[in-house]
Amino acid sequence: MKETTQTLGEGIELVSVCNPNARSSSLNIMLLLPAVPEKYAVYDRITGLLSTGCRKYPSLAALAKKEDALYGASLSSSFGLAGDVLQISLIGSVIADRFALEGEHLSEELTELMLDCLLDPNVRDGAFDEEAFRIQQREQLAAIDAEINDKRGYAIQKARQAACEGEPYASPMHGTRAEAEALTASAAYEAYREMLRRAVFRIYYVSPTEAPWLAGKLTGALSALEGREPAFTRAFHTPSPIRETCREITEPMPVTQSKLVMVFKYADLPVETVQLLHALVGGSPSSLLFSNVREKLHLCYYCVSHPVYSKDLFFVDSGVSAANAQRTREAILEQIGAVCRGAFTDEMLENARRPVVDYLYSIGDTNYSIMQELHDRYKWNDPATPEERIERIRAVTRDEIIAAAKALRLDTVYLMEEQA
Amino acid sequence: MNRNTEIIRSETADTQCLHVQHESGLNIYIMEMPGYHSAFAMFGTKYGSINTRFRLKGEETYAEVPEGIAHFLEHKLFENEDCDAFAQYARTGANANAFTTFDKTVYLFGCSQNFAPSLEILLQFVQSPYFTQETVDKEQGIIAQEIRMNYDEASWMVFFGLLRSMYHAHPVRIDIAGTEESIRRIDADLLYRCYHTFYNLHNMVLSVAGNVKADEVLEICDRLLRPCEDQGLEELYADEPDTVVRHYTETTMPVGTPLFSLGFKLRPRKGRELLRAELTAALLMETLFGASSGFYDDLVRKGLLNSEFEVDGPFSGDGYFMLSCSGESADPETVRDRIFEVLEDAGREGFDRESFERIRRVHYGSRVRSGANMEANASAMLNAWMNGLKPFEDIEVLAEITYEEALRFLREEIDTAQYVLSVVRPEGAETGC
Repeated sequence: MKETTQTLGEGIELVSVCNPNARSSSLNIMLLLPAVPEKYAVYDRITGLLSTGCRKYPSLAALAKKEDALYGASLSSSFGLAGDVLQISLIGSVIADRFALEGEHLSEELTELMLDCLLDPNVRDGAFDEEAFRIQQREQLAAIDAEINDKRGYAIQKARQAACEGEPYASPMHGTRAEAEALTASAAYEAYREMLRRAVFRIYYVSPTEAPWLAGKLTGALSALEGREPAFTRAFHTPSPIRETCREITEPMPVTQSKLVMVFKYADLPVETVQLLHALVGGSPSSLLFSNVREKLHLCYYCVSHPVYSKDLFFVDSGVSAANAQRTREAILEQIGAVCRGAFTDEMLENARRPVVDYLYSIGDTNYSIMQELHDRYKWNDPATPEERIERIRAVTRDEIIAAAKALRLDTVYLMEEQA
Repeated sequence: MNRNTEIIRSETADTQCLHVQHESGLNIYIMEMPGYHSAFAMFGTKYGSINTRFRLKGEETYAEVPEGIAHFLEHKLFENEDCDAFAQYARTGANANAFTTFDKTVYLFGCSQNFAPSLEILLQFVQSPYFTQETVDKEQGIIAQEIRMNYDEASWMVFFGLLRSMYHAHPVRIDIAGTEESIRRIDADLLYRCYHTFYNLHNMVLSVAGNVKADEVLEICDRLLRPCEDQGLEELYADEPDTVVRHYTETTMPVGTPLFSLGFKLRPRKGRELLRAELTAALLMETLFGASSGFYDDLVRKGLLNSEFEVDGPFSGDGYFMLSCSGESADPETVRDRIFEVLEDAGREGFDRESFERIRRVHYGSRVRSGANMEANASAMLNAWMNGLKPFEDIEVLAEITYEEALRFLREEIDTAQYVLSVVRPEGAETGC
């Protein structure tokens, strides 16, 4: 695979990878901004507008027809956080040009479409088109209302909000209902223009063939942006402060299964050590939580861990009956305690290491994982290749895992409790 | 060992696979994908939640087993006499899993290292059942939690509301995992009975794709597959009328927005006839109701639908065939009425031919794109065999379907009188019809 990095302007960088195995071309135009919770609602709305229309294709149907004509090209936008950095992505993918039935240049057409969506939205008199804006408002309000539909996701979100209260990471990503209702099309358009002025652009492209046309096309479009003043702090790693005492929250709900979420915090641990700790504790069907809490004690169907490296958080979540919630909590703490005491074999540690290494070897197989890897390198300011990261994973010692487990502090426990 | 082999190629998708009829009775499909790091293997049996009544050659009566037993068996098969399969996979680093659907159970793994030992584990543990009453009792608590988890999933509840209102007697109306009551009736003897009936290699398929060598796969198969005789398995399903049970069903639960699913009951089919009907229906439904349709655009503008709306893929199997679409709406009844209007107008006057061709192109693109995905390739080969088809047959059929055929399908096969609307509403919300 051939990788090229080009600077296209102030705060605009393109990283492209030629991967001969790929059957599609993928482009991710990512905008990075400081995370300001008061702006989540408006950025969420703007993100929705970016992938649902533009001046040339003003309606969802018109844009969808264009995507269909590009052999079902996918075009989506996303909005999320990495530490205290807001990441807004416009992501597109289309089949490789060699599969086009009539010789079309599909990857170029997709790039043009994405630039239209990003830079030439459906605007009238200094405001987003009112109808498109109201459609997105309904989407945003529905998304806020529907958070409760996914009980497990809702429980994790509540735990996250409690654990990181007061931090940008705790605020609801769609904004509040009141904020979403109060937005106007003109204020959102002004926020959009400000976003283009202030954002740092990271652009990732993966394709089976080289794309000598790409840099020129992107530069031509992005150089037209006026008053560029990228203002950005590399706050990708902002550990959440560790609390003195554990915060307990119980929310009764008319559900048939309770959801238990335990949030641990840690400090000063290398990513690779936490990756391996996660694999050992709750990252696979051979992990301690699966083997003991599910298979030996039969307390649940799932009990898993998931770290958030950008915030130094380590989640454990499980679906249990209310009667077993306390017992499950004790069983989870017992397994983490076992790692602290070194009560695991070298074989268990090696078993945890293998799937992490296995995943790193597979990164080159999909456009998505390649782009993810490129961004991780940027995010962590760490140029290590997957091969170098494999070596680091192999170098993590048993003592480092024990020390990492000892560094975990139970910070927040959230229980969605089934009502009788 | 003796093997019958053939290479199956698709010029359109620029890919090929090897099909082997193994002497053991197993059908094997292998797609070598040079240049990739990962590989994916699936070992499946034609045994799902609907297979509750069956007999073997020479048996006079049909056995009837508790609902949810195929899924229960899937859970238990990971546990062998000496150790469990996950512990063995942990030594190779493969990412292993399994799933049970209405009509199949599949054991699978993906890896980028140690493919050969991982394949050995897969073939060995699936062929080595070990059940005791103690381990069966233990699993009941775990599966009960899985069942309860699904009861809190609004999308699961709206889907099963649809099936229960559409099918009178066909077991597709029953939850794949069964009920807490039905799984209590499962014991070790019943599990062995089902295992020996359905996990016969003549009823199974192995599908492998990615960074593999066919010779290496076949050497492992020759060594580990235990030849068995075809037992003449017969299955029985209760007579299912063409009509639906009821047109409307509603559940209330803690959700923020109402969810709905609207389905139409169609005549069941098999093999290539089913494939053709599925693809025709998919093209038709996407054309009329997909994201680029006038219907969708209009209802989104009016606030009756949002981006959660989707045309579901055709839902079909032995004795059932349904088309549906699902989404969120404050007014599912009006959405239903608009869908009826569109179907009736299109049936009477035809629909946009250009849109139909555009949607065909989308399907072609999707098939090409999935060709780079090991799991999608393994899954496509496995599903083709399960449905009595060859790999890539779908690509051929997709190119053959005409606008006229789709219009005829709409006029003759979709009966709007045989519909069900399933709704999940927030607690305390006003109910529908």
